Amino acid sequence: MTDAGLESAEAGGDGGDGRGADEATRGLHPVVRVGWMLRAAVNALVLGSLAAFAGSGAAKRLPHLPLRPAAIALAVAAVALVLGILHAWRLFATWRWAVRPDDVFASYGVLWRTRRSIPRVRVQHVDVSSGPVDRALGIVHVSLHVAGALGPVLTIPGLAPAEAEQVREALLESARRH
Amino acid sequence: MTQEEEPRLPAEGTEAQRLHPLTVLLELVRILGRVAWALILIVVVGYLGGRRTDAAPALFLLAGSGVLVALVRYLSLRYWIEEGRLVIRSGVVSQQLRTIPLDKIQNVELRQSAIHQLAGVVDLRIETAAGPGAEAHLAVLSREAAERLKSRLLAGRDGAGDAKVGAAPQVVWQAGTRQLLLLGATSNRAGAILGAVAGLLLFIGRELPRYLETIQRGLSGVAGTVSPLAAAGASLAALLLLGWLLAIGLTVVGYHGFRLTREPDGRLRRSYGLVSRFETVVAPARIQLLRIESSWLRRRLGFWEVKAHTAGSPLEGQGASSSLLCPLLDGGDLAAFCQRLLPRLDLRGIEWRPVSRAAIRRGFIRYGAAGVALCALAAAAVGRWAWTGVPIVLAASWLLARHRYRVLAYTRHGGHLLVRTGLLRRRLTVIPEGKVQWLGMTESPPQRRFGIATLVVATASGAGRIPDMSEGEAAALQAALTAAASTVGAWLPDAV
Repeated sequence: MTDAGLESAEAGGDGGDGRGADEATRGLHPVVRVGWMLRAAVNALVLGSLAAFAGSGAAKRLPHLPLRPAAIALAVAAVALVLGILHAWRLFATWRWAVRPDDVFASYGVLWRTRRSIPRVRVQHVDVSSGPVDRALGIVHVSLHVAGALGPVLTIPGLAPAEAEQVREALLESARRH
Repeated sequence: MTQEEEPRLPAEGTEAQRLHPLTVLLELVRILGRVAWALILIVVVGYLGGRRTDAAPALFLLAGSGVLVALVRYLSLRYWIEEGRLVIRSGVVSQQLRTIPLDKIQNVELRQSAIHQLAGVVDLRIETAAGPGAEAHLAVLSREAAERLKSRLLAGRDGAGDAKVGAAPQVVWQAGTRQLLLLGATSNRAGAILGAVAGLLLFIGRELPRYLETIQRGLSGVAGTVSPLAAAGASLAALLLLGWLLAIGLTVVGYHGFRLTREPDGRLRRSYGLVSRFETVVAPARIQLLRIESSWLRRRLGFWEVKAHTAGSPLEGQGASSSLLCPLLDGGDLAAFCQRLLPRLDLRGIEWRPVSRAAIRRGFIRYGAAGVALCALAAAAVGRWAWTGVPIVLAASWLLARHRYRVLAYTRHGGHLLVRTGLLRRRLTVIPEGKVQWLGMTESPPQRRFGIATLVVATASGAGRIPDMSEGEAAALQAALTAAASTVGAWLPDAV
C-alpha cells in the first residue's frame, strides 16, 4: 500500500473525536458529504409529503383543531433536512479507515460507533462500484467480501477512484502473497 | 481443456446418470401438498361466503404444469463425476452446467420423507462454502445410487477413499429411548401450548361458559361437586398435559434412532428420524463454530445440546437442526465429546474472564426502564396503585443485571475463543481462531457513556457476540484475534 494521497485525504476530516484515529488512518473524500446531504434532502422531501398527506387527513377528520397541513409538512421537512445534514456532517467527521499490514480497518458512526476489522487474508473479493450521483461527484464505493457472508462485510463509501484502485491493488497483492 | 469447450458430454469412459423416474410423481405430490392448504382455504372461505368454489380447474392446471416441469427436469438432467468434479447438466431451452470440485464440498445430506421411504428413494443435497443453502440438489435418486454417489463425493478426488470402506464406523453418540423421552419432556413447548390455548379460547369465545358448564357437569359426575373455577383449572391442566405429551411424542418420532458416528476417514455422520429420515456427513475440520446450549430446566438435569456450524450450512434459525450434533449430552461427557470435534479444545480447564462491571449498570438501566414502563402502563390500565410495583421492579432489575454480569464471560483457550452468554438458556460459543472472518466492535450511546463495547467475532457460518466488554479490552481482543487469523493464512474450508 503506497502512502501517496494520504495528506490530501487527511485534510478533509477533522479527525472525528480523536478516539480510535490511529496515526495512519484516512478519512473519506470530502465530496461524499454532498451525496449524503442530497440523500437527506430526498428523505426530507418524502417525509414532508407524508406529513402533508397525514396532516390534510387529520384536518378533515378533526375540523375543530387548528391544523395547518402545509405548515406541518414544512416543519417536518425542515427538521428532517437539518438532522440529515448534521448527521452527514458528523458521520463524515467520524469516518476513519486504513489498510494496515494485517487487516482492513474502519471506524465510523454518529450515535452507534462501529470499529470493524477484516484480516487481509480473509478478503475474498473487492468490489468498486458507483451510482449515477457518485459518478457525477467523482467518487466510488469500495466493498469487501469474505467467505460465507451474504453481502459485503465492509463498504467504504466515497473514495477517489485512484485511491480505490490503490486499495484494490494492495488487497489483491496480499492475496497473491498468501 | 476439452471439457471447458465442449461441456455438454461427459469424458470418455464416464457414464452420465439420471434421476430416478419417480421424480415426476414425487414432484406432483410435493406441489399438491404445498398448495393443499391454499385450496382448502379457498374452498372454506367460498363456502362460508355462501358461494361454492370449484377448485378443480386450478388444481389440474397446477398439477399439470408441475408434472411438465418435473418431466422436463427428469428428462434433461444428467450428472457425472470426472477429474475430481461433480458435473450436473440440466435444462432444455437454456442449458445449465454446474461444476462442483469435490474438495469444495462441505456437506452431503440425504433426506427421506415418509413417501420417499415407501418408494425407496432419497433426496440428495450438496453444500459448498459458497453461501447459505444447498449448492446442488438432486431429487430424487434411488437409495443405492445416492449411497454410491455420496461415497464417491466424499471420497474426494475420484474414488481415492474407496479402500477405507471396509473399516467400521465408530459410534460417538446415540440416543436411547430414555434420552428421547427426557428430551421431549424438557423441550419446553409451554409457550407454544399456551399460544394454542389462547387461540382456542378466542375461537370458542362467547361459548366458553357453556363448554365450562359441560366440563363442570362431567367432572361433578365423577368427583362430586366441582366449582366452575376448578373446572376451568382442570381443563387448562388437561390441555397443558396433552400438549406436553404431544411434544414428547413428536420428539421421539423426530429424533428416533439419532446416531452420530465417526467414519474411518474422520468425517462425522449423523442420522435420525422415524417418519422423515435425515442423514448428514460433516468434516470436523470444517466446523466454523460450535454452540453448546442448555435451557434452565435441562441445566438443572445436567444436559447440553451441541450444534456445529459448518460453512454452507443453512442460515441460523432456518433448518438449524442440520447442524445439530447431539441433542442431549450429559454434562460429564461434554468435554470429551467436544474434544473429539475440536482436538485442541479442552473444556475442563477453563478460566473465564468477566466482562466490564459497567455491564451491571447498563443492564440495570435497560431492565429498569422496561419495568418502569410496564408499571406506567399498568397504572394507566388498572389504577394508580400499580406504581407501588416500581421499587420491586427496580430491585428485580438490579438482581437480573448482576446475574447477567456473572453469566457474561469469555476467554481464549487452546486456539479457540470461548464466549458464555444467556440468562436462562445458557450458551457457550466456541470459535476456532483460524476460522474468524471479520471482527466488529460496536458501541451504542449508553455503552459509550459507560466506556464499554460489544465485540462481534464472525466466521463463515455464524458469529459470537461478547456484550459489554470494557472498550480497551475489546479493542485489544479485536487486535489479537485479527493477528491470530492472519497468522493462520488464507481461509480454506479445510484449514484448522
